[in-house]
Amino acid sequence: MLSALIGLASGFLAGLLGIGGGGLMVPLLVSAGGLRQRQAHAVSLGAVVLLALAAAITYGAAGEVRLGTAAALFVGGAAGAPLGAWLLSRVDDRFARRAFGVMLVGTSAYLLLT
Amino acid sequence: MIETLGYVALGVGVGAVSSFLGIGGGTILVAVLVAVSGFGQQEAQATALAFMVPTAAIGVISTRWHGLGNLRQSAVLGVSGAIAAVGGALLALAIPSDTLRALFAIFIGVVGLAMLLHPTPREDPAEEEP
Repeated sequence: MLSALIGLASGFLAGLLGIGGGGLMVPLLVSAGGLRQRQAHAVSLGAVVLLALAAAITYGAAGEVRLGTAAALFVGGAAGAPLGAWLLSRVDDRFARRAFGVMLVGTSAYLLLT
Repeated sequence: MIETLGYVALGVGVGAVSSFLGIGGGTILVAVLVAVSGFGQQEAQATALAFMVPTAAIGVISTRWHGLGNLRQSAVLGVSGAIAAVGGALLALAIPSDTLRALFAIFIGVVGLAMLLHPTPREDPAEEEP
């Protein structure tokens, strides 16, 4: 029941904003669902496949998906993911989060102001 | 051709940041497609979602390989999430691109601020076990 509610909230956000939904799902699975951090990441990933597929089909039916771009991105993404995992083991995690936070706030400001 | 290579390179960056921070690549991808490539907000979100399906599937295979995850629990979350995702997508398609762009910008702004204000991630409880 709790899983279904977490799924509903994450799925709605994923469909509305085109994000994976893991950013909401993982913290909820850990704090409300009592899952361990890594287990939550893995369980979330499995759910993301289904909800991203449903959202992508909905957008695709409206003609919004650029499949060629998505395929090119995926080719790079498949190579980049292991690279990121390797980098993660090499740098200070706190620095990485700060840098990412600054980047998101900066992008947010850019999108709002332009 | 150059454009395609550019997207492959962007994919490397997004894939790397995604597994680096354990956050979905969609957030960054949507922002770059809108701000740099000039995609409409809905088009960027749709393309990011299509990118995420095979990328997450690879992630699932590799986490199962390491004995992590629970496919039944993923299915419960995923099926309820899929129903809500269709609703969210239909709402996104119904509202103006500029409004959606503002909603998206506010969302990532809040996520970014949360990261800056809570710079130390929660400890992984698995690490504390003997």
